[in-house]
Amino acid sequence: MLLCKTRARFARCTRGALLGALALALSTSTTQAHAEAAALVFVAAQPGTRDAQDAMANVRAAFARRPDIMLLGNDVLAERLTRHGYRRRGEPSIRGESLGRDADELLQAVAFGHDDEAVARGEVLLTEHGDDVLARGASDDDARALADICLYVVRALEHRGDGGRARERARECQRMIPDLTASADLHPPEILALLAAAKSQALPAELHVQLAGRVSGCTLRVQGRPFAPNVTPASAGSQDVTLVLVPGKYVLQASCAAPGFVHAIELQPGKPLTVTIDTELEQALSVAPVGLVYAGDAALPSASATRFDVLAGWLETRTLWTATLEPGALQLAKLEARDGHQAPGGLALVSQAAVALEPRATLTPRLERALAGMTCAAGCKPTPQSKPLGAIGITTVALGAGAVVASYALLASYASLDHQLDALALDDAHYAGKLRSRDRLGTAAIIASGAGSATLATAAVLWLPASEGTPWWAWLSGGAGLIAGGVGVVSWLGHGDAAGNQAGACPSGQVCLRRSSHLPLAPMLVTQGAALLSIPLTYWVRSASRDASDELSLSAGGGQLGLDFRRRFGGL
Amino acid sequence: MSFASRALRFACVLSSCAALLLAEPAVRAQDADARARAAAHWKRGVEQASAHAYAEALAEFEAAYALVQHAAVLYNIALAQVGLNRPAAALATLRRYLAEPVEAGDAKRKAAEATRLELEARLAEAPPGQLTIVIFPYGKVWLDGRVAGASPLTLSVPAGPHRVSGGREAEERSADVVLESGQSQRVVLAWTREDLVRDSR
Repeated sequence: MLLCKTRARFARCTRGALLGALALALSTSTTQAHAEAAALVFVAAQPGTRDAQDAMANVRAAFARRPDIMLLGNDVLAERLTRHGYRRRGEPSIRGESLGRDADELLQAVAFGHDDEAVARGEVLLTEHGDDVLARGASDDDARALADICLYVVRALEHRGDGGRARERARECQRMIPDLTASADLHPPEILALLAAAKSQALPAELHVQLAGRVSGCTLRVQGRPFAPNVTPASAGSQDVTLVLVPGKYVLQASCAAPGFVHAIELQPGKPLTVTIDTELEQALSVAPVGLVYAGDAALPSASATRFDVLAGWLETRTLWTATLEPGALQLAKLEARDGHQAPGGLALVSQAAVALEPRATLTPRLERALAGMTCAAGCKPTPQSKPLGAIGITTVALGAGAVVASYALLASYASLDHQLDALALDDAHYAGKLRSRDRLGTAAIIASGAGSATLATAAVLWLPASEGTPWWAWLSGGAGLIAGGVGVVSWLGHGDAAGNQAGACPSGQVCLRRSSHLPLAPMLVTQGAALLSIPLTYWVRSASRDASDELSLSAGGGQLGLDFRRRFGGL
Repeated sequence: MSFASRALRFACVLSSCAALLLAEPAVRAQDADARARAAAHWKRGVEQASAHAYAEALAEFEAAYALVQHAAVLYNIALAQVGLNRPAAALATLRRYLAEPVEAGDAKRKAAEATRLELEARLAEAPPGQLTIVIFPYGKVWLDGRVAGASPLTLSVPAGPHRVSGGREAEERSADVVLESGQSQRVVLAWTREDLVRDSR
């Protein structure tokens, strides 16, 4: 009975220690990936070619293998750029014919005197589609349909005696479609007069737009309408366009070969506003499947440094990696915000390296090696550096090691008492007392070993050096752990219940049973084996959670462990 | 004497003149088959009117008039309308009848004139009707040659025949409407998109 109770307790302790060690090792390992995220920009003159795509895929793979570099995912990049007006290429620019049909139906409503219906429906159409359609670049037909819808609402308001709102709406029509010229065939003279009055009565605001960059043949769109067609920004400097508009909110877009970013501005009455649009940067940027691509300067000239400052600001990152595709080589560069500077602005080149594109078969490992060198501080070897043990790491390792050493001291005491028991007859007055003391020592040794092993496994993540994969010695440690664990389990099963028959020590004719002295050592080996196994396991978890967009988390409860993998979409 | 019984009396009188009417020079030029069918409609119309079935009678007279545009048929149409208690429509038809050139042997003009006066007096005392006029996409409204307002417009109008016109600055399009007492009617004068494009050129 005593033996059974003791064995059950040992089993519970051991299992708890193992689970605890594993949980701590896993959960703390994932924190490795939560460093500040950086952005990677591919700079290529012709990013669409197969060679460029291959090279960029290799760069991406090399970055993915670096556990110490965390990159923003494509979704995060696109979302942050969108906040600054970026639009994915190929987005539909117009809503199509349905807007024209809506306008026709609204005309019918207002012509037949259904004023309330016309106002309600028109307001909904303008709210739902007005600014959105305009921001994406409205065709002439769409703009006309929107202007007509807006003026039908004015007419309905006026007809039902709501003159104040009609004038306000007329001003809004003028703002929504700045180049609005209403058709006298569709709109009564009194509505056209109201529109003209709205324009003349509002204190106009001047908008100066400077188009900078080297992209030619750009069209400046205000509210999606072409206002200054074929404006060609000068190669050095900029070109000004001045517009006089009704005060209010506007969207600007410089469309060149492709639609540019959509810039939201607000004009105050009587206050001039100057907006600079870098057409080259906007035209060059796109979020491709492989990552953020800057299809512009192949050689990353100094003129682009300012652009990367701006880009870092848009991407909300202090670290920008660039991979510039040049003939026969890839130039890697790491730019970081200078001390005291928050992006945007103030990016400085921290390190750079050139990697030959050939041979392609070894491009990824060579890129990885180059990245290792670039992430080093000055003077360090271009290999992954061990993280220095912090105060918590040192304390944890010391505690764990101390506990393991203590477990062996307790085991020695256990063995000494066990040896003394061998010399005692069962009916000796001291036998029972020594047996209890021996068992307490055994229990203490196992607990100390379990706690020490769990602590060491937990601390592994703090002191294990960074590595591209799992180093050989980690495998060795894992092997040793397996052997120790295996020996422990076999010994436990083989000797835990085994009977030691001390001939001559028993009363005549009886068989004496006492648990073997191997028992404490077996669970100790199991727990320490688990600690050794945690080393390769830690590396495995690190490599599994290497991608900045992914996260591993561990849940323990109800005697079960759960490993949870989820993809992160932002807030890095 | 009620309008209906008067209508019957006139119908009976006119039925005896059918052959004469259809043989007149204006009619002779018509296709013989059309004349024969018009005569058949005429005859059936008179029969229906005799039986106080004025709706059927009106349909037959209108079918006859569609085949042979003779003033005498208009007169019978007006009488059928009187029988149906549609005085405004009857007045409109009588006015058309009286506007036709006087033909030899047409002895009903005096009676028609008297009926017109009677109908006009009756309609002047009757409650008005309601007329809603829509000029599409927009425009001014004229009623019987006088500016009434901007479209869309709803007016209380004396029962009877009226002329509604619409346009931006002048009467560009018109429509004749017949408004019975207490009746509501909507008149739409529409310019299509094609019209607008054509006009703007």
